[in-house]
Amino acid sequence: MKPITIILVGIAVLTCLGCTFFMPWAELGLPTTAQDFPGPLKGLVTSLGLGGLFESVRQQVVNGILKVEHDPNFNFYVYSFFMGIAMIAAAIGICVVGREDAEEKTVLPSK
Amino acid sequence: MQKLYTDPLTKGMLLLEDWTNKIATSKYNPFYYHGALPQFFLWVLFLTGLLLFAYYIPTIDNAYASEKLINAWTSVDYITNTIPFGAVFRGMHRYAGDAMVLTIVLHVLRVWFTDRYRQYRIVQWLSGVVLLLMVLFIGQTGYYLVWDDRSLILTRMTVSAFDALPLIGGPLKTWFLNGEEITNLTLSNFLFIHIGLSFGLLFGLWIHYVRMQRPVITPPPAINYILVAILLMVVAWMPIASGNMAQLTQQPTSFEIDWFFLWPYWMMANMPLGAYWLVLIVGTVLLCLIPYTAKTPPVEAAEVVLNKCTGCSLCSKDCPYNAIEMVPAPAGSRFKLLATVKEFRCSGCGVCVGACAFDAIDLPNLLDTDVTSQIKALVQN
Repeated sequence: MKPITIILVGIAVLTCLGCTFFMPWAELGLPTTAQDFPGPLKGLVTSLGLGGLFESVRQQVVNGILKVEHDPNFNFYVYSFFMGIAMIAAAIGICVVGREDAEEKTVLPSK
Repeated sequence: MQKLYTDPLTKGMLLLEDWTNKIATSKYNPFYYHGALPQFFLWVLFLTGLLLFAYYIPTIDNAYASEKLINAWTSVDYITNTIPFGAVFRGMHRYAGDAMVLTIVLHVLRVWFTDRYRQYRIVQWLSGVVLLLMVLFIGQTGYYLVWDDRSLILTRMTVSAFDALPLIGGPLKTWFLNGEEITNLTLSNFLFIHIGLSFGLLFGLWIHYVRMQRPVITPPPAINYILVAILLMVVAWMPIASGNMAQLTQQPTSFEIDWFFLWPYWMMANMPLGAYWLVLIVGTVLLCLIPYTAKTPPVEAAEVVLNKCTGCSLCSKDCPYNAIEMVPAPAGSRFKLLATVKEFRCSGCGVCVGACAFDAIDLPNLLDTDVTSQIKALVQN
């Protein structure tokens, strides 16, 4: 596998995993403070200091990119936004790996 | 063969495909799945529609509850704002419809520009016109089902359009409304038309494919992921919202146009109804006649060399257009079967020439040796 292929696949995998991480967060209603997370996750958010990251992502996606802050279903739209990015990243990864198999070989007829 | 490389439309189309191949390779080039793309969106519509159907109530008043209003509009509101991800599924259903129309138009342009719409493809073209009309009408009935202000005005405009038709106008209006006026039965009828005709599309697709040996009906998974991803992101960027609940006592006068499906209503609003029907009917007839207006000469069908054919049926299996039929060999032949070409189905593509190991099939004015030398020249260039 060529180095550029490995780099592209790596970016695709990281993007896919990153977006998959934000999808359940969107389903929870995009909480930004530890007390708004379900029990087991409260400590994790506090210890890793993820509150700022969630706040920043929420601002950029809800108010900036999608502008759905006044929609009651905004968390579902954010979920589908991240799912969309994850699927595009997955597709690019598949295409990058698959294109090496797609090289056409021409066989001339012998008769 | 010569036409393919001199016609500017064909040349432009092939150039575009070539550029796409450089980025995506032929394996993931969406142009090579142009017919499969609308069908993929059809599956998305079926799946999302199934969820919407489970919660949809096709009535205009509180037929099922005396204390709380339950009707089509409130059930759509319930789907959108109460069911988790209901708004996303509704949005996907709506935008998949738009995407289906868009990809059908791309499909039509592609087969037109690459000269694959006439003679041996006439059944596909004519069935495609019918399928397109069905898709447009199904999409319009989807707008009635929401039962908001727009649904009411669209329903009334459709009734006015039917009324303008001589002889069949009255019966069509009664069929459309499921009676003489808008009632609960009207919405039941809309739902039946919307779902029933959607399943009718499957029958239409069968006719569309019946003359094709190996139609490509499913894009590869990577393209499917991208199509679904685009739908999800459009849903997030442009959430779907209903208007106010339709009130039969009121007369809404304006509505937002979805140009994929509701352009006929724009025409209705901007021209006399007689002229509207004339444009629609003449437009449809012209669309059907396009294959007969081609100035390019008809394709010359492949010819079987009778004394060489062994009846092995390889050409028949390889022919993409089901144009070669194996028939019993004439009396006295050493073989059981003989290949025969159905001229009206043959595209002159030469696949059968390559498939035959006995030089028993040729294209007129293009001998087997000429084909081989042309391929060699193309490869060397």
